[in-house]
Amino acid sequence: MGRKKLIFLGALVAVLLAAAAFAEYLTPYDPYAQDLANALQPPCAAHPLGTDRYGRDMLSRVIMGGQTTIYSSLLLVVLITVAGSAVGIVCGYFGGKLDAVLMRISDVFLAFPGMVFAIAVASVMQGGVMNAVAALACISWPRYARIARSQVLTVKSMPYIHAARLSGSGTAKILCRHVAPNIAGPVIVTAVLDIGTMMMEIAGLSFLGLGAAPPTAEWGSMMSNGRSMLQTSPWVILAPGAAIFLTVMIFNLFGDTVRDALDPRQRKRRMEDGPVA
Amino acid sequence: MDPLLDMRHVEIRYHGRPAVRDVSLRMEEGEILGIVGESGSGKSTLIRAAMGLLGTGGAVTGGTIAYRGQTVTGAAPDVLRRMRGPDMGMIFQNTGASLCPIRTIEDQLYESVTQHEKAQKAEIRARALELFSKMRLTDGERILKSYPFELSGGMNQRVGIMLAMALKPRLLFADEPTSALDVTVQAQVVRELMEMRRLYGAGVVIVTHNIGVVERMADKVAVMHEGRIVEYGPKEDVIGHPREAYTKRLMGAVLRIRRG
Amino acid sequence: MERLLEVRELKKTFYKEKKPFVAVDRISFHVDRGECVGLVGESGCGKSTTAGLITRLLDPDAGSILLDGEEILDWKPKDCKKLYRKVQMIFQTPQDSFDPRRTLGDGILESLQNQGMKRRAAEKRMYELLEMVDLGREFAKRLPHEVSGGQCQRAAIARALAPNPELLICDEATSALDVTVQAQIAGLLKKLQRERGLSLLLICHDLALVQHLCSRMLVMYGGAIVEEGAPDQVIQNPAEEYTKLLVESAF
Repeated sequence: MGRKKLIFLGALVAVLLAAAAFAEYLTPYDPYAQDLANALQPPCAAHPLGTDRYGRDMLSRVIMGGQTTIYSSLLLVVLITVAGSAVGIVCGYFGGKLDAVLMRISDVFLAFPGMVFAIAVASVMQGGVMNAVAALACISWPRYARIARSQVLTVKSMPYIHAARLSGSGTAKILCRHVAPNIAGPVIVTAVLDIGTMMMEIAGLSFLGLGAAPPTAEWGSMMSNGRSMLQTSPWVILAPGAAIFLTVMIFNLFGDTVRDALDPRQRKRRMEDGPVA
Repeated sequence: MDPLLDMRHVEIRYHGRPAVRDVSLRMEEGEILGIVGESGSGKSTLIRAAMGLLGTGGAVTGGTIAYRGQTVTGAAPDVLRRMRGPDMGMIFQNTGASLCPIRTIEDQLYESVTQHEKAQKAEIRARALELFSKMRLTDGERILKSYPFELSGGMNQRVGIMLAMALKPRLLFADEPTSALDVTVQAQVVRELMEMRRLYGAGVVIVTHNIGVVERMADKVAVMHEGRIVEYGPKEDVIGHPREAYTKRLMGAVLRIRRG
Repeated sequence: MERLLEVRELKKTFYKEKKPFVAVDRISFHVDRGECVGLVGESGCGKSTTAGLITRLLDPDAGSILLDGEEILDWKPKDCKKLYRKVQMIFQTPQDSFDPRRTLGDGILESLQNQGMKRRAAEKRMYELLEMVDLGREFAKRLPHEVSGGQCQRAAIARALAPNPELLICDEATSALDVTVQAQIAGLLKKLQRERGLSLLLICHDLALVQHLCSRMLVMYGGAIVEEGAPDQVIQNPAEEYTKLLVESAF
């Protein structure tokens, strides 16, 4: 049952990723080509999702926007996972002053209301999707650092770490070979569950005009551009809105299923059902 | 009169796989029975079944277990719940971990006793203090006021004995009660368990992999291997003159100190 | 006999919430080449801390540890590879002493390759080591949770033997195992001591095992060594109060 669900949702995620990757070939029209004669057309056979105020095909723009939104949020998640875990591993393993300093810095970031801080950073750095990603990375890495650190604290006192040291392995080798793989589970689960959230936040920044700058197709900025026409031409805002809704939902459900599949406690419970000596 | 505990051809399965096969045991009042075996031999499973505590996936699939003539296997959960405590008590390997970490020993004692009988706090308290003094623990008051984490492993095991004995059970199950303890503390806990039999006439089933403990305590010994009882009889015979090949191998592996 | 390890006035204090706790209190002892020494005491008496100090997993407050006459506490962490060629350790819970995600063979190979052996030669040596501890070749491909405690402990011994050490520290190496398996591991350790001239430092709480394997024993209590001597002599005529209690308690 759980396995089938995982395969089904995994397939949906794969479809989304593929659609985003090959967006250029999937768009029926050029998403940036303006055609003012056909502006604000409601959905019809030629334009299934209608057109926006510059006459650009909404379907093409939603597909193209998917590329921006999905890949920038994936980039963001990979960035904070790697950076956060690296900091966490170093802090947890070495402890001492370095740990204290890095953890206090992460406290500072955690103390700010995240979105407000990201807005501040993004507005200082000016627009652009990459700057939005950087702003969100700034506020999101400490959580990963904390998760990785607490895992490392358990792992580093395990006999197998001592045994590796006694085998003559150096610190770098121990960290890469034994510590990192053994803390990966919970970190990866958090990361997968975070993809949806990060998508919303990137779209949110773009909606506020702090992310993708026009004319770049991006779901958040598309919604922002369409918000004045909600009553007259609702498809302009509903199309990207539905895209965000569906994509975030698929990634969140996928994250939940991955967590269930990977959760060591659940696996262990299944093992413990066996005879107890 | 019915025996204290009577197991006949008991078979227990976990998820369909047999963990205990064709086990028959009989215990009289006040007897101490030692069940020894290596990990995975089914010895803990057996006493959990007698308490009705098999957990998910486990079930008695054959035979009967009876306590003083009353069948335990197949009894309603409610009946079993009423029997656990006043009739059959249990001591775990790690009492400290089996208690609630955020409540004092005293609190948990009151709760466990009042589940089964109407008793005044003062009376329960007196009972606990008497048990502690029987175990030659003079600071019973302090122990009652403590939280489990404030006590050492050995002290927690004595608390376990006290909690079980406060309900005056006729039969006490002890699952590896000394395995996590240092040898010096282990010796004390063994002495105290034997005192409980002497003072209150409780029968004790002790499950352990430590043959020395069984040799010290038990009247009868059952040796379990791969879910079956390979040898069962008076301690002197089973430990001193084992007949079965497995028992011989097991006893041969036990290192003993030479005192001279 | 030649002196292999000499520990002098070793001291280690731990701090828990700023409160100092002296785990090892200026202890001195030695292990000769080919000798088997037992270190006995209850949990928390400092015996495992002592093992951690000798293997430099912990740093002492004071004292000295001489290995073949050389002060190992002066060595930089990098030079500890030199230490691990001579001193190895096996642990109480064998399953936890192997990385849960890597095979037993991987664990042994890691040690061999760290000594600069090429993959091919290391693999050949790994199979020799497995044979030495009476494990078949197929165990190289097993994960720690796929084998029994005894088999895992044998693999741990194989890994410890990889650098050809002179001293093997066994930190409660048999206490988590079943009696019959315990006897087998004890037999294996005795064989290694006899055939390879390995010195053993047996940290344990089982007097019978110490009497069975060791030629000398040290009794540790509250961080200090309170009694020392031949096991037979200590067990028959314990001098200290604590040793008496320990002997009385043994079944």
